[in-house]
Amino acid sequence: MIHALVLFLAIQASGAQSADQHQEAGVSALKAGQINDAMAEFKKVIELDPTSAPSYFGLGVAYIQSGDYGDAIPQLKKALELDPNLTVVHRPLGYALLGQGYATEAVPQFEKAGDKVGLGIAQLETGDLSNAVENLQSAAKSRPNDPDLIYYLARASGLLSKQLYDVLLLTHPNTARTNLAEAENYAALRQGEEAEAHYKLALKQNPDLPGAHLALGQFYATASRWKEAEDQFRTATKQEPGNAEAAYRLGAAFLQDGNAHDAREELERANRLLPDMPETLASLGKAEQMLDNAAAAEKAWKRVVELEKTGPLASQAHFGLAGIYRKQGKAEDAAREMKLYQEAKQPAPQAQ
Amino acid sequence: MLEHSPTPKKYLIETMGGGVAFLDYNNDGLLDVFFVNGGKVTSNMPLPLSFDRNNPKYWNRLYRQNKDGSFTDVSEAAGLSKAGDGNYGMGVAVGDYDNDGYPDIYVTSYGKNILYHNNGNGTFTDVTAKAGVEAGGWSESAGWVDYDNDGYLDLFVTRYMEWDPAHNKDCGGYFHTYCPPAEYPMTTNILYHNNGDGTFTDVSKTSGIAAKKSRSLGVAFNDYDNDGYADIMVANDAMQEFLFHNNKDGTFTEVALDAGVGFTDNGSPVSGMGVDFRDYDNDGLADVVITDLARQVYALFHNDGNGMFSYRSMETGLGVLTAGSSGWGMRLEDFDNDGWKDLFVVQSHVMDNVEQVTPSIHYLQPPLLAFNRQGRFEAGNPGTTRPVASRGAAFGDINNDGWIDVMATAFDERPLLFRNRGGSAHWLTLALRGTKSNRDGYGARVRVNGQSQYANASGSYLSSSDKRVHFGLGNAKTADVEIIWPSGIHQAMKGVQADQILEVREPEKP
Repeated sequence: MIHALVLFLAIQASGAQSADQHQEAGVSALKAGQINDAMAEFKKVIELDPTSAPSYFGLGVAYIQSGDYGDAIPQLKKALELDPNLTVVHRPLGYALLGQGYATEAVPQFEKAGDKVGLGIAQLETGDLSNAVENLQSAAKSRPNDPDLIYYLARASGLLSKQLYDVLLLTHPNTARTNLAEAENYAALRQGEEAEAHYKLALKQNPDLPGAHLALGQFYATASRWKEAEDQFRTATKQEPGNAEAAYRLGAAFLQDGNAHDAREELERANRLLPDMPETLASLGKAEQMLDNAAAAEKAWKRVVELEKTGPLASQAHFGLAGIYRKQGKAEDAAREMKLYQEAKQPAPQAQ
Repeated sequence: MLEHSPTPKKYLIETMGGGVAFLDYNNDGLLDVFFVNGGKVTSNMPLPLSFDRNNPKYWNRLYRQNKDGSFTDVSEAAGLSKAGDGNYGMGVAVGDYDNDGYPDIYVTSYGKNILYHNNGNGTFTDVTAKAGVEAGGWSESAGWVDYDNDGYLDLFVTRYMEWDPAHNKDCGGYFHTYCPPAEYPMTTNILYHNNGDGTFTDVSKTSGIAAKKSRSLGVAFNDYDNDGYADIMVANDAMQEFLFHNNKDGTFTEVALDAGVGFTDNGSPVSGMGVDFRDYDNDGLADVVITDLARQVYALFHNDGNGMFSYRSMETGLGVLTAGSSGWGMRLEDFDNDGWKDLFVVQSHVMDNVEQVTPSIHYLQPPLLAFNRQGRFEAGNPGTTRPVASRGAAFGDINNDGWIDVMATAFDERPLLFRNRGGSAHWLTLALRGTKSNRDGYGARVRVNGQSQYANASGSYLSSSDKRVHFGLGNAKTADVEIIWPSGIHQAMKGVQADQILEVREPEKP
């Protein structure tokens, strides 16, 4: 009898010790990518201690890593049932549910996990597009170069846009605003003739339609029809004298036409309305250069490279500065700017 | 008909070719025309390559102008029809390399280039092997220039890239498209020095020309710093342009970046195809115009003096005029004889299915005529609005009426002759005859009534123009002429009567 009691206690003791060891082994195997070993270890823990929430969590994660979302879900749900405070479970449960097509169920899991990417994707799948765009945009601020995130954001934005356009077309058919929407749709689809016809129809219906002249101007500018673009931007600036974008675009159109005086005037106005926009300053530098005002061009381009270290505007500004210094006989300054021009042309490193 | 045999394989050579030359091969005072043809390309291109050039459909053609303004095909009789079965024809350069008074013809190809010596009796002889100028690879535009002022024309040959059908790439997704040039390795251009005895020496390396690799399509010559030696402007495709400054010792230094003619004012390259190197604003300094693809606008670089250029496409109005245009053969020439050089460009996008990629850009385009109004260009009427896939263009006074005409080529089209209807303005054309300098007078700097010209048939794309030097005089009935020959000899003539073609012989002594 005494021997039997000792043996039971020993088994109990060795069983408790063994569950911890299996849990540790499961976690190690999971980290090492040995999924089958991890599953076996977690299953042993569950055999020895069916109340172990971490082991169900570990097994669920192992299933996810093997791509088996269906088997992951009950394990993760069980983990939460055993320990509702095990908040780490919500995120993988959300992705497992999403992977199985249960987007609606995934939403609260992502909300509890505070995962805006998962939440945005789940909302996209449920059709909650405005919230999806908001969450994905928020996530994109810290991951601006993540192609998957950009894809989902673009998809959500596109669907939201289409949804809103559909509502507009249904509720206000053949109005100026509807035709503007149709024009922009056609422009996005690069169906130029249809886009232009709808822009013009929109403006015929309402010549003062906010944003329409600017949009048509941009359409013409994209097609390199600069004279027509200039006309539209000019009207846009008259309609909205406080609109910095309209002033900038009119200035840029003047530049295309070689009209440096008017370009400078509009670009300076754009810079007063919305100071320190690199696009405006880069163009202002060009206008000043055309007018042989090297000092003013230098000032504008120097400000550009203060605002932007890399990218096309920075490289343009460095190239322009190099040209100024070369003509002034400042060979060292020109060489430095050419080096910076080359560096600025390089694509920005991917954010981790 | 200019043949180019487009295939579903989108072999890059299908997009190029179509050189044309104005020359007076029989010295009868009438311009004749030489056309370079492409060849047959098939989806399967086994080695050795054959382009079926022995088939008359793919012959190069020489048309002799008759006294009544009609033309007779004399290709076969002249010995110019067959250009080698393995050579896909590209361009042509015309110059009297042996100073015998008869223009010789250099034909460039994908394959081997050919130098035809003009025998002076209406026939030509292939002297490529003796001359040593076959080049090889993919040659594009070529030009004759006496870079060392020794009285003999030397030869500059641009080459495009390292390419062969087996390594062609297709950059399409849902449909086939030609690949951009950067997909293929660059190659070197070639400079041949004329030894004066009918042979040439490849001086590409020793001259510094081969020090830089490129994807070159066009070449033009001028003396941009007026130091008496020819400089070389090379149009490169989707990379920095090249300006080879002549060091006056047989070597060149590539200075485009420092001179401000390498990139646009954004620091961006253009897809340089055709090029001209002439003074558009009558300040006596050679400017540069480069044709390129739609959305890039044709690049105009103003010569500011002191070896520096400024990008002025926008200020001159070319930006607005050419934003949607893709240009090949071109020339700055005074088409309305008002005393300012205008711009004529034959156009077409390089991709025959570009509309599938960008609907607002078109493969087939009409030509551009831009009149120069005291330094700013305005759209003119080129005589047609019919869009075609043009490539080469030669410029000259085909009917000796004092008004510059244009001969253009276009894929799958007969040649297009744009005959200038003229007007009331006066003009003067000088037919230069070098004595101490090369016989064609190439490289002579000519000033007439405040305008400047540089004698040379090169520029444009793959083409060679009338070697005579033309000036529009506006209302002036007389002209003061000053010529600085490549030999350094100065020649001046006061009160020359307008409205004539005047032969000017280089004086034996200054």
